[in-house]
Amino acid sequence: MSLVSGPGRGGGSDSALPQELQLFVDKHVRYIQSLDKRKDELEYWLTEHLRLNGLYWGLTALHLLGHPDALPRNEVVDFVLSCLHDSGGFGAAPGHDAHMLYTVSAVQILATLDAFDDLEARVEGGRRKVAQFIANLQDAKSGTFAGDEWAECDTRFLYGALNALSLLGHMDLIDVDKAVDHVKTCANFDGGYGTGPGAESHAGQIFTCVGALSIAGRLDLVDRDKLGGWLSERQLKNGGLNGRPEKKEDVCYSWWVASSLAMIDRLHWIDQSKLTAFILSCQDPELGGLADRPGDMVDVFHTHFGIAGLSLLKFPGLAEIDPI
Amino acid sequence: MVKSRVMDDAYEELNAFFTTNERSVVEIAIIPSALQPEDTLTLQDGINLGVSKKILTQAFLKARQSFFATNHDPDLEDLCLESTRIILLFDPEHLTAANFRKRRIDKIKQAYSEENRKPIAVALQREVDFLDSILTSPLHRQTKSPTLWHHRSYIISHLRLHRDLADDFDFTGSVIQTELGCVFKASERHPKNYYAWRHARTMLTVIIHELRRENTDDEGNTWVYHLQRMLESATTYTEKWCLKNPSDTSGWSFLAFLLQHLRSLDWKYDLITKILSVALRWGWQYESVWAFFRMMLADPDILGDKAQVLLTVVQRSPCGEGSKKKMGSIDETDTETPCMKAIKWIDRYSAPTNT
Repeated sequence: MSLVSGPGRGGGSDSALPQELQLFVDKHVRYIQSLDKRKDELEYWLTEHLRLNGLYWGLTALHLLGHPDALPRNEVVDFVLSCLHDSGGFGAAPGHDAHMLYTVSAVQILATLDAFDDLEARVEGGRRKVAQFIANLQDAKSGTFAGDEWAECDTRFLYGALNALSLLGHMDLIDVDKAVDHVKTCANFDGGYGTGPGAESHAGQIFTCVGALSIAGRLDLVDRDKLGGWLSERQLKNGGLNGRPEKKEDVCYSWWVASSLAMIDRLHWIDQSKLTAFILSCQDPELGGLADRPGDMVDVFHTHFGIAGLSLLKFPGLAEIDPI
Repeated sequence: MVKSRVMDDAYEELNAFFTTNERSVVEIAIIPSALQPEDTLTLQDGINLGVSKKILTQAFLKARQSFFATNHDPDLEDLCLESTRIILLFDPEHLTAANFRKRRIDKIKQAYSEENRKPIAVALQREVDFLDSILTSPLHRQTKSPTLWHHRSYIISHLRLHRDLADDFDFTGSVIQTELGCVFKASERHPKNYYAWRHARTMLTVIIHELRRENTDDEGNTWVYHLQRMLESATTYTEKWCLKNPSDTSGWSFLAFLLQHLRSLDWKYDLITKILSVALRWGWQYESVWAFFRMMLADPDILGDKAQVLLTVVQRSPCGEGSKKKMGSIDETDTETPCMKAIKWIDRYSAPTNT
């Protein structure tokens, strides 16, 4: 399974919006299915370092599009388990070092496919082992999480840990209160959150912090109006969302920003129909897939987050997504 | 077979370039295939290298084969290390290659002794040069790589501990200036470079933490004095950069971070006044600039009571009164300028100060 970009481009053959704002479901399904069959392409190797993430994005998008069986389940499970290390962590691909990011994707894939039993069948106590790998990455002093033994700490990893551990049913292995305390210290004066205390506010990091607080049941700690204000400033005239001031619109922020707003009950603070139109304009109507903005090359990352955004905005025909 | 010969040749040519120039910071650019030379695989001119994406990809394919064939064999460590240079040049997010380099540093560090600092000092300097080459070259994707910037933070955190110079504060000050220079250059290559600026914060946070730890019996707290002077230098240096790059929100955000760590109210007030006078004189309406000012004027920990003085200046300025003249990220259809929005925001969110 691979994350490969192109060959299609978002926005169709010219840059005007299509008359009918429709979602090209079948095209997207075929696009995702085709990704693994491009092993001869050079891009396949460029993305080896995040193969497992790519698989998660493709699989989730298929589920949202109502085609959960479009990728062969056993092959997917086999591949995921081939990335498992003795430590309980997963690497991006066989032979790659274990890291929180890939471990979280692995857990999410196994949860989606209801495959924890497959894990247990092949690795005794596998579920607990994976949970322990994640739990061991918590920093006892600060409550945050490292990505691996090299101690890069980032709220992305904290969110990933809470997400995966709640799926594995092992939140008991970590100090949730300390993690929550850490997220509190990441709140900036402008209402946003960053990778750590004092870091630049960034929509992606905001999603991780608000998501973590949501899983921990502590959304009471968020200044909803202040944060909602900052997030609503991300919408540009073309309806698209950016991640920080003066950045360009990018379809993946349809998820990070919109989901954050949904979690704090402020989704109505942006123009949802304009955002929907923007996301749809990022599709490649011929070859499938979505790009970061109209005219650019499509890839599975943006395909996944664009579709997730549409689901959040209750676009008809898509499986419903939980902001978390 | 022809294909694999290109892979081998491309790898050898790039590898030789790196090895020949391993004590320098090189500049690498991706050249369009139209400029592909006929007789060589790359364009080289001293420390400058031009390589097409096609050739780089071929070299990478060989590098990754070499890496996975050698990364578990301690006798082949040098060969493996060479392959990581090309892997990370092509794919800066290749965590496994970056971790290999860290593991090697760790091994050398363990052999470190008071009498023989040279091996670790040399190894660390080579890492810095290698990172400088990739992070400051005109390589759009590479200059913003979180994997490479974290690797840099890791290396720099060791650099101070293995210094070979007597004066701690001078050395630390020069590390800060050098690192900021690297961050500025990378941010010019890739604006709003989140992870470059994060490295700047990480570096300072580690330094502050270490200075505190190293000076526990400094009763006069002279280390605090030195630290504040270093932070003031860093702030002045950053301020100049921000004024030249007003739409870079990350630069302004880092400036705010520095101001949060400075203690002298008067010093901060003078600096912010100076920046404000530039912004108002030029009629700046950059969203990033006003995101900075609204924080500085609303957060009581920055300017205390003195914020009100500057707020009044803003309110009475043409910017504040709705003039849409001049520069910035203005949308003509917007009824409110970023400055006007900032004034409203400050009004809503300034906390009462303790008097």
